[in-house]
Amino acid sequence: MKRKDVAALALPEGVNPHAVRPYGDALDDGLVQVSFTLPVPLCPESVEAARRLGGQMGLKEPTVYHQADLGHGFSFYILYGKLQHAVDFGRIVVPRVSETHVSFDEINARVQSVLGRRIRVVGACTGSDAHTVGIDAIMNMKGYDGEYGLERYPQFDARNLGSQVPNEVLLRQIVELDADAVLVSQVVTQRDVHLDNLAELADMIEAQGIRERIVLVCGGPRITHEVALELGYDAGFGAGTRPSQVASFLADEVIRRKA
Amino acid sequence: MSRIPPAFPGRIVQRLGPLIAADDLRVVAVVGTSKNAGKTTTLNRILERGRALFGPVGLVSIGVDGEEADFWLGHAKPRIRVRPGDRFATAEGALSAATADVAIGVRTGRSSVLGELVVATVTGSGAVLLAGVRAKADLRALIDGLWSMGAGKILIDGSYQRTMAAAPDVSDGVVVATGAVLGPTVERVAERTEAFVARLRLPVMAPNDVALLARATHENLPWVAGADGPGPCLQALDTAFGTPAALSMVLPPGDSALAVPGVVTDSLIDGLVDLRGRSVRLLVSDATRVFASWDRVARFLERGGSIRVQHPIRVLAITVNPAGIVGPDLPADRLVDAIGARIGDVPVMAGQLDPDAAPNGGLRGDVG
Ligand code: B12
Repeated sequence: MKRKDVAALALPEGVNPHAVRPYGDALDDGLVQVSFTLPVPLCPESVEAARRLGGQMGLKEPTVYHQADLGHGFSFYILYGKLQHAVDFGRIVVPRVSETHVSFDEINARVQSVLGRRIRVVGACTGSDAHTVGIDAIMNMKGYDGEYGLERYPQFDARNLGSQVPNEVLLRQIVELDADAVLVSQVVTQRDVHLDNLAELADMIEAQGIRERIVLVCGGPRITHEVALELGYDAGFGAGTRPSQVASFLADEVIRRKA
Repeated sequence: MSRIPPAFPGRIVQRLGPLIAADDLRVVAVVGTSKNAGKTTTLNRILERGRALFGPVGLVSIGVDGEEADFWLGHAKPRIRVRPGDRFATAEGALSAATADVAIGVRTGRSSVLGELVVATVTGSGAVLLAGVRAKADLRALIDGLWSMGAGKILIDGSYQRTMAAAPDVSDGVVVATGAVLGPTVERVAERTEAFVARLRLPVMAPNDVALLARATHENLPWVAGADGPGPCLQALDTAFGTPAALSMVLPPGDSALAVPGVVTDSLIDGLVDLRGRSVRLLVSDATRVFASWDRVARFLERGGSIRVQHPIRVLAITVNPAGIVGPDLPADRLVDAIGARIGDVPVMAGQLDPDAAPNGGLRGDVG
């Protein structure tokens, strides 16, 4: 198997799956829209500056379609232009977890009947990272995006250790609580220190001799499943993740390991 | 940007291949001191010169290796180039990214977000993507699979600065990849490389200490041996994680040994450094258990403490990537000299600035 079975994809007629381009008015015209602000007041020169920047982005026929003065010496632009690049759909591999949507009640019922006990989860925002809103969205009672967080699930015993938790403190909690699953949140800011921190935690859990017993998951706006795999995690959830997606993944994985 | 003297790469090539060809090195891990230290380039170099010496090679990575571009920085990454007869381990989903022709030989039954972990044979040359290993258990299953498919030598590519594959229960020897990405100056890179290697090469324990560690491991509790003989530490977690009160209660004055079944953290070392009138021999299974920062460990050693491992790690060679990636490039020859001056007894091998380097500052470490 060299390429993904692109024939199986339901693509519109005429689309070449090995050279997919943006669509504007006609197939393969490459038309895209970009928008940005310039720190100069609106004037004919600023519009031309915006157009030239579009050209420097590699857009063919860059055209300014909308411009507005923002006041205080700033101005805003929307450009159209033709992107010259294409992607081979057959070569893209994005790791994924099962996507069937399972509800709060279904997840709890499944854990209760198959595992027969609560799933113990420890979560934290680790290292120097203080962005707790993401892990709170997944774990807090009140949840996120109209869904309850893990603390509300009767079949999950979820503990959120909060922000800037050192790896060794998290590890100790994992051991002490005999956690089934660990949730780590990282925004991944400057110089990628957060990645080193994530990598260290994975190695620590392994060195403690408990990796096989634990479902290890990371998350944050720049995290993907691929990044997670690279760092030694079972999965990595990015922007827009809902608590039920995490709960259902944890339930599946804990059940697979322990039931 | 200075270049390596012309004679230099040749000398290196002759040394790295035969070194790894030794029969007692069945599994060799490439471990980086950082991301972008040149691990995959090192692996490719070993492969290029080593295939003739090794017999069928088996390849596996503990991260994601062979992708075209770095996920974070977008610069071009070295591909993993394979030839007919090579074996490799990966997740089934990663096979669609391969340009080589491959045939699956072993299915491990272990699943990942990229699909089942499998072992395959290469039937037509090209590049492959190695991915899917999260834990030591994955790695062990894949190594078994590679053996069962007739691999003669297994090479493990590392990920970031993770040392999981360096553990003696996984690999027989380690090649450390380091480079300019570690710091802005030659001295800083050499210093950090020295610390990384010093940790890997922690000295082996005496035979009577092995028994103490065996009991600790068996009971999954720290054990202490002082003047009054050996015994388990009842405040197990407080001791293992270095709570000062627990340490001063558990450790007798004078010389003692503390065997820890799990990891050694910053706070354990800090706790031991703070103890007065005690000299502690810390016993661990192997160096991959030690996570305390090297500054702390160095202070502990200065104050008369020691760390001993049951299973030592063999560091076979150090390769140096002069490409800075996020910072300045550094001169390869000076890096080699500075690292060699600090670590006398391990061969240090330079990279070469690759003439085909990506214009955006792609990985140019061409470790020969
Ligand atoms: C609020 C905020 C802060 C607050 C945080 C308060 C708090 N208690 O969290 C404060 C003011 C403290 C702050 C500080 C900083 N911030 Co700030 N901050 C933000 C902001 C505006 C919103 C982040 C947020 O809450 N998002 C909402 C949540 C719900 O989204 P999320 O985190 O992505 O989480 C979702 C998923 O990612 C996922 N998820 C997240 N974690 C996990 C974990 C698991 C296990 C799973 C399964 C899923 C998961 O699920 C969540 C729900 O879908 C963003 C900009 C933006 N609009 O995004 C910048 C931003 C994140 N901050 C940024 C920066 C640079 C900083 C500072 C370094 C600034 C500075 N120079 O001091 C400091 C760093 C502080 C520190 N030590 O960490 C940058 C990061 C840039 C980068 N990626 O490199 C951003 C993107 C702003 C920017 N554009 O520059 N920040």
